Amino acid sequence: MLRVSPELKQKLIDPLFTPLDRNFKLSAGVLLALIGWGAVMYIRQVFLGLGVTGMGRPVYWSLYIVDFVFFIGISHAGTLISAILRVTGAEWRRPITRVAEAITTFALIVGSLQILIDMGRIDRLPFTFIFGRLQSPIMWDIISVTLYLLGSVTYLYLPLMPDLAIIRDNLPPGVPEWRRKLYEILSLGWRGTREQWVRLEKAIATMAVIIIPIAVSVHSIISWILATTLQPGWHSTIFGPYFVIGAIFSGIGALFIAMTVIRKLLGLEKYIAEKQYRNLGFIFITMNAVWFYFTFAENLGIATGQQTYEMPILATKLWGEFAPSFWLMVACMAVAFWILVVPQLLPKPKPAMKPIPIFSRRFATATAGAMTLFAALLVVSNFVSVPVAAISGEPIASTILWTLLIVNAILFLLSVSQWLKAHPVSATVIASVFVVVGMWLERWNIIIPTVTHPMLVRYAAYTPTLTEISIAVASFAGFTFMFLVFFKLFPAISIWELVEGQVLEEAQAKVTIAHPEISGD
Amino acid sequence: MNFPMEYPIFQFFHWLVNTPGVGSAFAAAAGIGSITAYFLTLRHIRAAKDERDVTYAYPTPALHEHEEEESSVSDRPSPF
Repeated sequence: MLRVSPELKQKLIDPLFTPLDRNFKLSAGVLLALIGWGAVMYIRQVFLGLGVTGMGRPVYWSLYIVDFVFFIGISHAGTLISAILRVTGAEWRRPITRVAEAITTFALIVGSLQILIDMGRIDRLPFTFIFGRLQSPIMWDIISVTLYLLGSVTYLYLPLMPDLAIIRDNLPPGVPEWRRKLYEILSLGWRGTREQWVRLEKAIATMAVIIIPIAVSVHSIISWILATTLQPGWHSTIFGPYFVIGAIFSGIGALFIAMTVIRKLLGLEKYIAEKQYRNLGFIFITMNAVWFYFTFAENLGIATGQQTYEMPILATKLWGEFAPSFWLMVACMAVAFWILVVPQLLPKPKPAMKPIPIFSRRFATATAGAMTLFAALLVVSNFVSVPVAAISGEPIASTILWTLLIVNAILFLLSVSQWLKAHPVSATVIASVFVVVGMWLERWNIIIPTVTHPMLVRYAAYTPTLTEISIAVASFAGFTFMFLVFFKLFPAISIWELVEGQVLEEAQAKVTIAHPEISGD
Repeated sequence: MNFPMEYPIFQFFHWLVNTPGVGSAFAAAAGIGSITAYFLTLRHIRAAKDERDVTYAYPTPALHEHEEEESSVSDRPSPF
């Protein structure tokens, strides 16, 4: 029988067996309703064909492919991050690996489904295998995604096995028989003998090393599906690393959001502490900076080349129909960078210090109000034909409004920086939301402008229909629902890894490091 | 300069990347191979036998070091 401390049992095992509360039922109900609605719309699409979507000549890829690239991207949160941290021996990883690995598995499942949904004629799926040739990057993608999904499921399952045995041996009384059976079967007769531990840890270590190149290959190949075509805007040599960096970046954002929700709901503040946010935050900031570098490098080449087919795509992003989504993406990433970096540069406020007016709530409210006003004027000037629009739509007036909006946004961010510094967890989550939204927009900005501005064919417009939006919403609901169910059945933190970490930390705390020897006279 | 298609190796590569179904065979092999490897790994872990009836809820590096010490002592050739 494997024992666990009463505290860990109370925090990590007992919540799995509490009756489903109202919030859980409500959340599950809403999510299932969204999934059900998405399923109905998909069945309708199967019967009526892809004509019910906004796709058509020459827009053959659309929202489904945007979601596919996005979900596969956030799948890099988990297994890759977890594997890198394991291989590098980062001790602080222990409480967050389970959540990270779960994100990977669920995101890969939902991401892969997008391809099937996008096919339209699902009955023709076998043809992709019968006629699949090795020269096609789509075939490479099938191979790498299959390997990554299978590897990720195993990588999630291996460290879960001892935890399942711990649950099996510490079940509270009155547990339904099916759950008793579930833990018994899934723990595979784990006893925790020395030889079993040795073999398990070897297997985890080997998997961690294998999974890193597979994960890198997955998003590289997704980028090559685009880059190996001659489509303007996609035929780029840096797409591979650009996509991998973006994937890790969005993945960490998704991981921050997921671990914060779980931390809050299950009261795991003691285990998922500020240390995890701080250390992962450093990687997050680095990825943010590298993402900016790649985005700039990618667009600089197109801007200076001014080629006939590529330049219109960049133009449509910079000042055309895709400018809102492009600049919103840039703004999201810039705001995230500010939230993560600037508050850290501010000095700690001392009790004796006089409050600085710029950090006051009143100043923040004023700048937020001004921002809303300028944004409203700009929106009005673009979409509504009223007299005020004639003024704010003028180039000079519009430039002044944009300048005022940006200045006020910077002042607003500065005014809340002190609060962000005092609340690092909330700050990280806010930044993560900006990053995840920004990265979804990035996928949109890569796919849609190119398919609507192809080579040699007349340009087209694309707007997602209700069918596509419903299925996209259902996909996000499905992803969340899998989380909800998984963490009601299995512990959110790897119990044995956590205890091992605590034991090591205690042992290290007992070690006294001697002062350096005095050199010189 | 023409592509050297007269060489059998290039003919083979051409066949490999252009023949319908070969890509799927690779995908199937990768899938089946990894599932088999994972299944065997799990079986290997499950089958671990230990004569001592001692079980641990968690490991520490000491658990492994102990093994290394034992094996390194027995495997090391005697200097005498």
